[in-house]
Amino acid sequence: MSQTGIDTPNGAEGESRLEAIVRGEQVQTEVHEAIRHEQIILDVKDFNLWYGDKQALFDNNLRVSRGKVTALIGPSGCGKSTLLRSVNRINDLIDNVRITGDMILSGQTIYDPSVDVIELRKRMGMVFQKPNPFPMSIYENVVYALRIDGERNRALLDETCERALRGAALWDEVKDRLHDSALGMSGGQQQRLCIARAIAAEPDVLLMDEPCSALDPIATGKIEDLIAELRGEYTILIVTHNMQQASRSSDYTVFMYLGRLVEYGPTSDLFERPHLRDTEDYITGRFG
Amino acid sequence: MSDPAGHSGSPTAASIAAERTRIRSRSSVLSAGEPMIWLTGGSLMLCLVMVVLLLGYIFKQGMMTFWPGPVTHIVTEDGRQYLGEIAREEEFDFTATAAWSMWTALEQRIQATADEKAKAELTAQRDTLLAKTVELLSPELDPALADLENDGAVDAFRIASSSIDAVHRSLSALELPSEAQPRQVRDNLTKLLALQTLFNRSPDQVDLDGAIGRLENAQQHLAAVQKSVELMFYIGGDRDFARVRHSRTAVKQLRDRLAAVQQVLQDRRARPEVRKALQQAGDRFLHVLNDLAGSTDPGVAHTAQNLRDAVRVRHRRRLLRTGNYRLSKTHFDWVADFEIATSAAPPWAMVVERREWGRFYGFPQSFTQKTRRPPSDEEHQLQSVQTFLARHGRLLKNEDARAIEAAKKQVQEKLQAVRSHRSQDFLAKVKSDDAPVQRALLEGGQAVPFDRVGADQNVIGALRISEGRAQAWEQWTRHHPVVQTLFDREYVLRRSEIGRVNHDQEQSRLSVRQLELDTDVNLLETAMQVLTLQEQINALDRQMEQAAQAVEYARTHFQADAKTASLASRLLVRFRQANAGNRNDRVRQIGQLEAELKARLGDEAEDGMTVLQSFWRTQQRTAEQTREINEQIEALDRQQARYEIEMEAIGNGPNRNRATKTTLALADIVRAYPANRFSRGEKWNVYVARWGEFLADDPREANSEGGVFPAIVGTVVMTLILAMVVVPFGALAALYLREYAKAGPIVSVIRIAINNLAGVPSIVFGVFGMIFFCYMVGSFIDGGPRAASIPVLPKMWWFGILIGAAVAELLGVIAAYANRGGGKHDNQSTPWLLNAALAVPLMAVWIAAAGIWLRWIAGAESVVGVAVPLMVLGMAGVFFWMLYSSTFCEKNDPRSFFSRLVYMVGLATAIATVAVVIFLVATTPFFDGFYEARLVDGNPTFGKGALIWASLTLALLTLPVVIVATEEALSAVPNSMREGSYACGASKWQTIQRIVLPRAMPGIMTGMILAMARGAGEVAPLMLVGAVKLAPKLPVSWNPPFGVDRSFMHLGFHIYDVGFQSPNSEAAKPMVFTTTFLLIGIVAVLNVTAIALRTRLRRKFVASQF
Repeated sequence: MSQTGIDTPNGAEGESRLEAIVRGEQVQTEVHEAIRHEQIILDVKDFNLWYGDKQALFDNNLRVSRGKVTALIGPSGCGKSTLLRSVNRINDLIDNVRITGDMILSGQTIYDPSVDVIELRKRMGMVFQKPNPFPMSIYENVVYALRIDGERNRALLDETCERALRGAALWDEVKDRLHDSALGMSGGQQQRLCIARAIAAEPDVLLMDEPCSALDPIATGKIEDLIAELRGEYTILIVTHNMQQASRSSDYTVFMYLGRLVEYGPTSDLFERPHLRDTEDYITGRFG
Repeated sequence: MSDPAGHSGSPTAASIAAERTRIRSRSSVLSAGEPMIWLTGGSLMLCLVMVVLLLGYIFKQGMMTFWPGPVTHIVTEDGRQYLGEIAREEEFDFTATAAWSMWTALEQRIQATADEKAKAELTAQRDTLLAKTVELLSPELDPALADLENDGAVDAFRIASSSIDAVHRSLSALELPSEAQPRQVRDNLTKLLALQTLFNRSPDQVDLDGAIGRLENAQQHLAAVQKSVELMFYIGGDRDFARVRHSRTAVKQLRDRLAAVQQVLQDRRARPEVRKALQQAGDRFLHVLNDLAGSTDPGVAHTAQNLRDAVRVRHRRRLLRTGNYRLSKTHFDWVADFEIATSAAPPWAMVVERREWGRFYGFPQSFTQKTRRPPSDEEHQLQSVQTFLARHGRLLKNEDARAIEAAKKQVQEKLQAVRSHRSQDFLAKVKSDDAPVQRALLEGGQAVPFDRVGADQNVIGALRISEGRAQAWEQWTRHHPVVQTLFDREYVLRRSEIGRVNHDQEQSRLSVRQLELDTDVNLLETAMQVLTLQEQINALDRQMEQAAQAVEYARTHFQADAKTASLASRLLVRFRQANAGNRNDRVRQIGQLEAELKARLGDEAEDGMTVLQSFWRTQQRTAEQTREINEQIEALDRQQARYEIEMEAIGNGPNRNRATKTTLALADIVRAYPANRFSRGEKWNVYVARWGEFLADDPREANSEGGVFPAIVGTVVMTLILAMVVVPFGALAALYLREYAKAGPIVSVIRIAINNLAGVPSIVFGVFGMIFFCYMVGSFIDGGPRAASIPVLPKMWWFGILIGAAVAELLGVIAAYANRGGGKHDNQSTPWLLNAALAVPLMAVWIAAAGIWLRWIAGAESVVGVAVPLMVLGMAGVFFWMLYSSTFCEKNDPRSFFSRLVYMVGLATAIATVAVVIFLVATTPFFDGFYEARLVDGNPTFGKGALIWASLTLALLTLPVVIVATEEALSAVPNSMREGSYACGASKWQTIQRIVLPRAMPGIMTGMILAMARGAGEVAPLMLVGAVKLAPKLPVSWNPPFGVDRSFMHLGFHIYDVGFQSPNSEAAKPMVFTTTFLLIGIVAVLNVTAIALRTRLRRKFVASQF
């Protein structure tokens, strides 16, 4: 189906897949051909997730490309954040979560019982919807991941701090007050601090859960610039509600609906020539 | 432009607007909630007003206590005198009864006086007083008489009538047995019923005499009825006993009611007579009233008695603090305004605060300073020769007695010559001083002017007397600080120096007791005997030395008279022989006793004798030290006793009309000042000094005066220990509940139980603390399980259980190891079993460590037998736990039946091991307590009320506060922070340690503040677990156990004690407020410190996020 879909004009497909999803039918993901040539870092395989009795993710299959920015879009409650939070197993903290299927990060399985979750999380950075700096100094926030590893080498910590803050485009603003409380910064700064904290440990994957939803346009702009800079250096998986943001800053985009992946392809293709009418409807704001 | 149809069909714009306005105005009150502003604001206002009033009242009263008020001198109309401070004034009801008792008191004094002149004076006073009281009370006579008309006769009639009905009804229902004479009862009842015709009339219209007669008859009938009913009540009759009892009550009630009616009628009959008599009495109405009250007519007497209390007037009186308890047998006295003839503030009236016997008010008369003539060496030597001759002269009985007499006389003469010579020198020297009045103090104690001192008289000292008020006061101000310094020095000697020596003495005695307990042999009594003998030997040696010195002196100074000298030498030889005999006897006895002790000790003689030797050495050393300190104290006493002030007190004796001169030693006076002469600044000095004394000194006068320093120390130390105990425990418990425990029914039940704990009355905690901490744990520490009345296990059993528990724990841990991974699958939360495996060995290690620590501070050997096995058990547990946790991450399915089973078994094993460890510690046969020696002596150390138990009891009491506050704080930490930390790869504990706890710290501090405030203000439980009225020592010490075993004073308990247990409650009253004020202040200081700390933490960790 996907092979035929490449050449199909926008919305040529007759029946809406979304209606099928609402009816509870199995729907296959529309995957663009371009993705098959990419190098895979994260492979989600037949992933299902339940909150208690309620299923939130259905048979998700997703191959995330190394060094690219992949955006997850979709209406509220479609499972974007759940999928993102499953990658570093933050969902484990919630009682009654049950999963089947698996994810494989650089050839290593994530959900095997023998996996040390803590080691796993150290390989990923995560940025949350609301900035969540820790109640400590800016410096300590950035080097937190190193601290918990028991790193005491002052020079190394200093270097990491500067590198991470420069990476998060925050160094010039805070270099004179590194030892002030992080809670005294502005919202945008706090969010960039969280990004700095996430990249300080040089993760394989950077997970961003609507990082700009609590920020004003100027701060949002800065974060987007930052994502653009990080592109290539890190693999970024970003959840966003903002179509412009997705189109501006991502290489690939996944459209999700009710726990299912609907269409997955290069951002430019998805936004300009989506294979599915549903995707186009959503992107152009006709529903959702 | 306009459409008429539209106009008529639809409402106009104006009407729509009006409608809107109407709706808005109607809804505004309801929906905008204006009244709520007033309601809420009003509530706040009310709360604030009450709190401010309370605090303001305490503040005012508390601050007023130490202000030196003026001293008032009051002379009453009848010649009594009062000198003192006005404690308070109030209005009271002055009744004719009170007036009459004043009159009779004066009358008795007149009768008792023999002196005609005094009699005339008193009579005059009596008449003035009578005139005053009559003047005050006569306007109240007519209203009181009018008031008597409302005698409630109508009601009395009605009630009596219905009561007759009730009796009739209940008796008719009874089956009267023949013994009760039913016929007579019925006759009597009929007669009683006839009374109702009387009661149906208005009381104003009845014939009083006739009615009273009828009532008397009726009472007789009723008495007969009652007799029958009583008979039935005691011997039975009716089948239904309840009915008999009911009838009995009704009859008794009727008797009272008929009596009441009779009383009313009699009063009515008597009233015209009383009125007439009083109207005629005029000025003498008090007497007439008294006569009438004694009348034989019960109506008249009753009416007059009522009148005596009814004739009353509101009048002012004041309470004077007159002090001088030993002279007047009272501290306070009421004086009514009308009694006062003159009231003045004499400038020289002094307030004297004494160390004992309360305050003294009086006028300074004179100030005396004694100077002792320093005894010369020569005098001293001669005296000792004299003593030697007198005491031991009889040793030379066979020789010439006359020679001894002559020698004695010679020495006496010489002594006298030296003394008079010295006396004259002394007087000449003293005379050059410029004191106004001087006296020589002779040997017998009498003081004579210098010029009357004979040439041969022995002057032991001189007095410098400053007469006159101003001079006495001036001398006082100069010398009192000196005496005060001496007193303080003596206080230090008495408290800390003697205390230190006593501690050493006690310790060495306890070491012998311990030896007794270890060897099971009686030693102490014999050891004490040896000590007594040793002291006697020392005394003999000292005597010998003195005698040798005296004889040496005699030999050199009586060379002229060789006879005396040789006599003395011979006497010394004899004395030495006699003494040596005595001494040898005692040395031999000591030898015997020591041999006996050695025999008793048997195998352990060597070690035992070392202990005993050190005991004897310490006892001798401490006895010597005590003697030295006592000498110093005596010297200080003598110096202080040099100063005296003579005061004149007025208003003493039974009639309060005598003036007495009293001499007060300066050493007995804390402070004195002429209040009325003092300027505001000088009064401030007194005020500040009194506050200083209050804060820094010990209490005196049954806590009603002096300071509260020990109570401050007790309160603060107790609160700090409480905080140190409750905060870690409470915070850890809350941490487990909030962060680790999985929400479920067990956690809910625990949470509810904790909240309920907060509602348990504090006295319950006191009872628990007393029984558990003092009597069980405390006694256990003192004397082991036997002292705590816990049955002891046989040794074999004990070891058996210990080994069994160790094996069980081993198996449990191995099972857990085999099933590693049992528990929750994500290792975010540490599983139960891991906790248990960690907690049990840790607990054992704690107990063992505590035991070894206690062994170090208390020096009990036996504890090793307990500590070591438990330590081994604990260490083994720790080892297995490490092994277990290192391989924990490999897991199998936690949901399987097998893993659940193993989990439950492990849990049960863990709980059982805790129980077993507690059981083993409690029933150990190897432990006889850390303070067994003191316990055997009858002095429990921890098995009684103690500071540590009070702190622990209050810690238990305040635990819910801390747990709840900490839980709130933990749940207020945003989850996003936790997630952020996990996302960085932090483990659960790292997240808690680095993110959650710092962030929750201000909330935990809030819990601590609340706990401290609650604990510091708690009184009821403290009464049971160690707070006392007066603690001999502060509850802090450098010696283990650092004073925590002592009972202590506490401000809250002090308030209760001063306010409600004081023998001189009136004097103690102001102290209640001051102490309350202080307690509030201390709690406020503790809280403000904690709040400041919290604010700093909060600024650091919880600044706003946006």
